[in-house]
Amino acid sequence: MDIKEVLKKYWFIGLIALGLLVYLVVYTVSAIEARPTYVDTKTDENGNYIIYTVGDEKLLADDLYETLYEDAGAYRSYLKWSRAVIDKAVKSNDEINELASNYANYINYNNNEETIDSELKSAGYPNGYDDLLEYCTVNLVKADYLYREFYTNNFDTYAGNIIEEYHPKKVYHILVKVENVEETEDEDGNSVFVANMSDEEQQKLNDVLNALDNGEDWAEVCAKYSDDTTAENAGYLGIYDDQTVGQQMVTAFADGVIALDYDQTSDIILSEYGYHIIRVEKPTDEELKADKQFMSEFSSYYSYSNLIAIKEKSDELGFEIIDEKLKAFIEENIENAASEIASEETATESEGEE
Amino acid sequence: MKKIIIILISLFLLCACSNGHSSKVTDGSEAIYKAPNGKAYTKADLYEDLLSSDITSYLTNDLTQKIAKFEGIDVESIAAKAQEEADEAVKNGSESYITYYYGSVESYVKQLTAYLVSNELSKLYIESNLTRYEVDYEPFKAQIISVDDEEVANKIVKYVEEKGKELVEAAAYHGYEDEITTELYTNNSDLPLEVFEYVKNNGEGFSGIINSSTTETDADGNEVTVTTYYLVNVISKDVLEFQDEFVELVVDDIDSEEAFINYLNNYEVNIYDQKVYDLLSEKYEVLK
Repeated sequence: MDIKEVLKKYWFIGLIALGLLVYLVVYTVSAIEARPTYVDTKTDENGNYIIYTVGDEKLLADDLYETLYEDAGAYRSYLKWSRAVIDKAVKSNDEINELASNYANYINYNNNEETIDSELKSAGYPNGYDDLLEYCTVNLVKADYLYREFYTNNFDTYAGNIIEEYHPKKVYHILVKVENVEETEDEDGNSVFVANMSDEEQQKLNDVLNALDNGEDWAEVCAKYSDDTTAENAGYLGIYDDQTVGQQMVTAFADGVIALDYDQTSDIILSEYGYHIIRVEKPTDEELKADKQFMSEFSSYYSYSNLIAIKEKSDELGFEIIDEKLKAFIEENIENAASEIASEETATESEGEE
Repeated sequence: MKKIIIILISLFLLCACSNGHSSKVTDGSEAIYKAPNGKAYTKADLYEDLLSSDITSYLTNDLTQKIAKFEGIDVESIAAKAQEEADEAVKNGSESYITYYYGSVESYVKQLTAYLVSNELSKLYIESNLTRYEVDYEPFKAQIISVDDEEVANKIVKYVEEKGKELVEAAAYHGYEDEITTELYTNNSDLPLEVFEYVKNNGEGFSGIINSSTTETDADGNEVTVTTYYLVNVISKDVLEFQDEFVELVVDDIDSEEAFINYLNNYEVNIYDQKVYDLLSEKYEVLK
């Protein structure tokens, strides 16, 4: 039979054979690259796996497991369980995927591959660097979703301490832009700004100050004069606290916000953008709950309470914890979480009594 | 239809050729926890996860203790000693400190035992290579004092040589206030070259004055020569007379793995786990 006819008749066998051949070649090449030396497994007379022998002595897999389990079994199980709960609790979507990708790029940019690989393996990701995106998705983005949901639902229990310490504020400002702002140093070496204002800029600033002094409505003055994109929205920038304002705003502005009490308006503050007049108000609990940035701070403020969030979600979803060491580990850390809140409440009560 | 079945069987075979592994630990299918869909995270899974972390120190400690036993080191006694030390520390109120730094008292005992066994193995190694280390370190035991005043130095020398007194007594007689003890020195010790040269080229006994000059900058920025006068009484240059002390010094000085790697060369180590092989052979070339 002609070769062409044979191929035409048995084309599917040829296709399967080709696929198997390609798979075999790729598998062998990758295996050889990953593992230059193969070792065979071995068992003892009782069928137990041997890790290695030294003379007559041997280390069994069971012995190695017992040693490692004693030292790190509970913690490694906890990492795996918590990750599984978070991944199950929060469904992936485009927003989560994009955030995770951004985190991964950021981590990649700021660290070398070896460091990332080592850190991820310590965090319970066996493939190290190759698991970076998964780590960002589950441990950073999805975890944040889960914790924010928990702390929003338990706002009354956890918010008081953070509000007391961080002073969240609704921040508004009116900006009079100054084109020519120089940065220089004062006699102590601190950075200061000097504004070289045009006549128009000076006039605008005077108009703003006069309008506010005359008791004109803040929002109207802002809409009329502010050079910022927030002008039409009463200059509203969002909710910031003593932690986040310093991280996200220029120093002069941040210092101005921190110095203000609720319902206070600042004097003029000069930054590299121009002159600001800042006003702050107290946010309501509902406004705070709706603010992702503020709610995200709870998980780093409370060391142990995050575990309560995971445990509650684990129970809700129907996870079953069987290993006694893992159970004890979780219970011990939940007790720490409870005392974390109790000690804060005691401190707050004491301050109140004083 | 037949073609579809053949394709499906082929795909099934391909899947079966993947990296599946059977449990290496007894009762590996025991669940640590179960997810809502019934899928369990098992003992076998935990074992593989634990292996994926850096367990080189565990393996090294285990290998060290096995080799130590072969070399006649009483590992059980050392472990008992470590336990006693830990019990004493707990009794003295150090439990929270130990727990903070080591995780638990049990973990502290394990690490202390591993450290002590490793030290004993290193000592054994140094003793069996004593000549080599003697050449490397050039140890000697001596009493050494230094004075800045040449006149005082001369008086001390005269007191020793003419009155037959020991250096310690002579120095004290002439107002030397620091305690003079017999110390073990090596060529790594903080002594001037002139003293090492003297000891190298002379035997035991009193040296007389050994001058050592250095150049310093004074307050006005001028370079001045400062001479220090050393008086040395060499007690012994025979390493066998102070072997234990010398071995302790070298143990503290050398890389603790030097002895371990040497013994790995001498013992046949056969590894039957791929992950463990990859970990250990990367750290210890001799295992490749």
